[in-house]
Amino acid sequence: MNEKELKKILIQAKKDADTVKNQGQLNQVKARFVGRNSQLAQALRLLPKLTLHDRKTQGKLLNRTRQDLEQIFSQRSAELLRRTDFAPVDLTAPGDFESYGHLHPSSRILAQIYAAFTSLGFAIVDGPEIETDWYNFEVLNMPPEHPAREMQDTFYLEQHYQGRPLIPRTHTSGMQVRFLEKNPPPAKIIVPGRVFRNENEDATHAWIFTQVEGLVVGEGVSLSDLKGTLEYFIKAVLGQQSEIRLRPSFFPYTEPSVEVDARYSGQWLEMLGAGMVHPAVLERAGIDSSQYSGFAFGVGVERLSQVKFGIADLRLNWRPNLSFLEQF
Amino acid sequence: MRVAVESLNRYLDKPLSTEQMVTALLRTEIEVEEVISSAPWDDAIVVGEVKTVAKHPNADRLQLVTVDVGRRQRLQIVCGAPNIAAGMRVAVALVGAALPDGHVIKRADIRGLVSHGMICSEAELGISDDHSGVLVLDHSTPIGKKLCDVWPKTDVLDIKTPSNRWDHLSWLGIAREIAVFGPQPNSLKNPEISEKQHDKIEVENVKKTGQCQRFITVKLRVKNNVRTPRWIVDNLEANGLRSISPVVDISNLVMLEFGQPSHPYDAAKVHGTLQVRHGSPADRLTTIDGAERTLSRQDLVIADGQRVLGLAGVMGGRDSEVTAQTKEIILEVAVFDATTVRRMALRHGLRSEASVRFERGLPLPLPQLAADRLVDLLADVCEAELLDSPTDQLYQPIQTRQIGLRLHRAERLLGLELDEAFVVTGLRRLGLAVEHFSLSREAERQLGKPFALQPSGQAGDGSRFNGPSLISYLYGRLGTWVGDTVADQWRSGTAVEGSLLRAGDVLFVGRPGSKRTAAKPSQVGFYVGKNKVLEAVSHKYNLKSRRLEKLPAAAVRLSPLADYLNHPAYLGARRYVANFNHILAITVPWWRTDLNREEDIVEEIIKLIGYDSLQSTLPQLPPQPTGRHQLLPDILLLKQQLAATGWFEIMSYSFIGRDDLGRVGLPLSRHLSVANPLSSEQAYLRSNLLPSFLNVLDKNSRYATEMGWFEISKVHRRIDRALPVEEQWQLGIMAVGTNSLRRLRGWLDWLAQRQGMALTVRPVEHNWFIDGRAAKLNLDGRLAGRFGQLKPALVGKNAAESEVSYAEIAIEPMLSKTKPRRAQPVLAYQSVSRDMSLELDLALPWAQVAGLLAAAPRLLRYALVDDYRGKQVPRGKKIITVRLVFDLGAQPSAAAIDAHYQTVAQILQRRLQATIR
Repeated sequence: MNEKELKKILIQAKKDADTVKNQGQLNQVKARFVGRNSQLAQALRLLPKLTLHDRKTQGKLLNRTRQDLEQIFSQRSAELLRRTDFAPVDLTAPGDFESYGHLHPSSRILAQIYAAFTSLGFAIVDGPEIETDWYNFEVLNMPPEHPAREMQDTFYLEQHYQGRPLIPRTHTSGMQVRFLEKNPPPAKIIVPGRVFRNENEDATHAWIFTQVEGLVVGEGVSLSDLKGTLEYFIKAVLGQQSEIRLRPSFFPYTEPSVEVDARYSGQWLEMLGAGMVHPAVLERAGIDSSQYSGFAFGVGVERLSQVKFGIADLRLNWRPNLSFLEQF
Repeated sequence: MRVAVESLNRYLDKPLSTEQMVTALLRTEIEVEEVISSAPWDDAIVVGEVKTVAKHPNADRLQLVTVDVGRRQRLQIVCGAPNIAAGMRVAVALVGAALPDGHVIKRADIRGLVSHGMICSEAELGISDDHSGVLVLDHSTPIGKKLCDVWPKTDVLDIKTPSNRWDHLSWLGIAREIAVFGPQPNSLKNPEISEKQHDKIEVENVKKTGQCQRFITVKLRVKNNVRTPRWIVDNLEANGLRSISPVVDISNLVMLEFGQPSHPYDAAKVHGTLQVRHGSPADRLTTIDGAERTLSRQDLVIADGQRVLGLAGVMGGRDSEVTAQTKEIILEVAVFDATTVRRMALRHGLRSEASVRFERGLPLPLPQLAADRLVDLLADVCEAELLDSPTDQLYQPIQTRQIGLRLHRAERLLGLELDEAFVVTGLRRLGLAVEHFSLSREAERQLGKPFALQPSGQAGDGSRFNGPSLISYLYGRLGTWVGDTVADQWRSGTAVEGSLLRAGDVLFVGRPGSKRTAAKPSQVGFYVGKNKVLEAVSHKYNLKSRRLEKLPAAAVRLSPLADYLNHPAYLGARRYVANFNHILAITVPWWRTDLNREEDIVEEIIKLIGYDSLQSTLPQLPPQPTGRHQLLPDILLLKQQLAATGWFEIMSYSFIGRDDLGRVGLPLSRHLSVANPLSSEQAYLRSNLLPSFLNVLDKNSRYATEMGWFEISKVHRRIDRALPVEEQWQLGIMAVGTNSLRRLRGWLDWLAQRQGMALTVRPVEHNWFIDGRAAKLNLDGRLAGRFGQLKPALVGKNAAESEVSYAEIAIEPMLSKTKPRRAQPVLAYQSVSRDMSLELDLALPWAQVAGLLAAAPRLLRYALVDDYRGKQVPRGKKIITVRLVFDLGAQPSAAAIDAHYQTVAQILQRRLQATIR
């Protein structure tokens, strides 16, 4: 190649390099001029076949051109790094990220509950949604006709188990004895799951809800432990500034029994029921109640999300309205 | 239940404000759901006395009245009430007064005469809906005073009470709690009751049923055509009951006061004596509410010789109801079995004020108190006189409950150090008899009590003893169950060496004679210390004569310890309680039927102390091993990842309707059904999530255009086993809009990759899905679910987008088998990527191509990057482009790359008749 042709290459390279906008384009241009298939590279590959003289002059020329080209590209590369001529983008306008998912508010609360209790060393245990009368009521000191059964209006299945009623569980407390029968103390578990109550639905009552049962059984477990555990949990979900208050209550399967209120945005709100596991319940699970004691509680997940997210109508949890759920 | 603050204050020594009461109740199980505040009457409603009544000259039905309201001038008022009469004290709304309904009284011209105000009826004052006449005040009401001062309106509490507290359904019971938990020392003011004699007379048929535990009847001569005193009416109405007649009102008042329902019968309409028996289908009864009741064997009824008079504990009959003409009544005050009453009330759809109270189980001493109170009030109001002496039959012994409270156990349960003196004082304030348990004192008390082979009552009532009943009684005082028989007592407790005996241990001897009788414990003694043993025996083995001798006077007595230790058949000793220190022996008062064991007392203690005094501590227990309990956290993580990758989480009802099942063609027989559903739309347990998803699609059709949502829930199938329930976790996921099926398919790859599992998809035909667009899917060779594009008929015409795809996956096996990840080393050099275009038969599934590529040598990865079927492609063919990524070591030669590319091409050409393009 003669000097003129090489000059033309240099001019073309300069022109092409100047038009690119970023390093990627520059690398492509560079490959075209100094890459394996470039004219220059081909000329260099032909060098050994030339006469000594030609080889010398041509070699000198080609190498100088290559240096010049490298110079052009490195110069342009440096320029690109200093580039400032970008057009502004309106960042107040919506972007292009269209589809994104949403977690149900109950799952958001559950995530916080799991995290709080996991950090306290609880296991998260699953239990059956269809219970026998025995585990749902009888082991919990509620024999048939016990008036306390009325606190939990019950659905019954048309199908039976050994002649006895099957129940879509009215609470997760059936897992207390189920778990203890197979897992001797110490026990520290929560049991989340759906529960069912045969009551008419309105904004503040749902016939289905997610409950989280808590159960701790061991030597020397006390009511103070119950208070401390629930305080830790409520603060984890509703914030460190929230407080709890215990009030006397009655459940057939706990003694003493308490109702737990939480103070949230300046108001005392009824949150959950709890108590020390009734010794008769422990005995039914084959546990010596003179040696072991325990506490249990049951909290409604939708009650927590109602308070925390301000969901006024509980039915919104269960009748999927996508434009509502989109907020979570 | 509604209860008026002023009704409660009647029974408190120091009355409390509404606010003080609500605060006090916060410390009890009684939950105040609402305070219904009463606004006081307008100051311009005052007490007046009617001076003159004359006919209105221009109107037949109106009267012209002058009223003294304590001003110089009498007021002239036009009044239409028929009951107005001179001398009456009435409530006068002056001109300018506002009535509770907001109406303001103006000076009015009524048929030519000016009326300066209004004389008010109960309805106008908002007390009741009675507007038949003006309200008549007591004669002693001071004239001119504001009505709101002489007759304070009361706030009403809407309360919820626990089902184990019968006493919370009575004013006295609630007041008793408030007296203890109120802001200042207070005491309960019990109504004064004059005691009466009751004869014990068996009532026919009562005993047989076992469902009536006490039955009192009182026959009285009464005047029922008088006015019920204002205070009774006020108290009834403030608590939501209407005044009916004095006898009924008094019966109701005592029910509210004591919690004891009673029923008055018109004696003239009762033939013979009252009976309590089971009903029969032949019986007919019209209850007071006018409803005709069909009876059955399950009903417990009150009857006379001829017919049924009422449903026991639920409601009386209309036939024998008292009326204004009634001259003689029979009062029934009874305790009926709680369950029986509850069942009856449910069966007849008749939860009455009475049945609600019986359902909680009334204590046996209650009817007597209530009966006496009833007679007192009836004497005051209706000039009642006893006709016969009252009859009273108790069908069960009244038992007093003893509970031992170990303070150290209470402290352990509460996690709180207790002040013993405070506990004792507090429990006594609640009416409990509390003593420090002292062995020697307890033993001393029993000395000299007679021996009885058969002690009365189950554990004995403490008046007579045999050997084992003495032991069970003494330990019963501690709330410790040791057994009723010598054999049971020998089996419980721990063995103690003779030399280590301590007061409280129990000694056992057999009967000398044969080896067999000697080995069997037959006599017990209670070691009280100082070498003395307390015993209740009728015969004693004489160590000298070696004979069993009858004792002259069999009674509880002390014997020397040697009588036992040297006895030829001495068997040993048992210890039931390790430590007798700091034990309180508690006797529960009759009204606390809810206190049955130590823990119940512990609850009373913490209520007295206040829950705010509890520390907040955490259980000192090791972490629960979580190995087998990962499913729920795994599900939550999956939900979070699905939400983060663009899917919308929903939760929907677990019960669906018959129509929902029909829509997707699922057979009813495979579904569990609800016996008592809220509606037919919620009568079956869902076995698949699809029906719920279709409903969501219907209801969100405007919103659901280009999106997808999922639910993870349990589903239930009915199976043919003893337990007919198969429960499993299901993930349902629906994609809507363009390309929905491919999006769902792409998501399945994501899922398989997340699980580290191999996904295999096998096309199938399925009635939910469009033919050729449905498949079963396997994860690591296990059937995991199915997916496809839903048929338009299922999607329906409401959906904005007709392309709707759906997948259903059983996730429990999948999550439990998640493969542990193993890291692959990073290549130290660059892999080589080449695209290959193939012309294939249109019907050839990708799975076949992928299967061959998976086995190709040195091929690191491969991916389908294009699938083209257009004009340039021959009929029945398609062109796919596959990206091949080879691992050929560092700096492979062009020839090497080409060789491997050709190898792959040849495999595909040979096995799939593919043409490389």
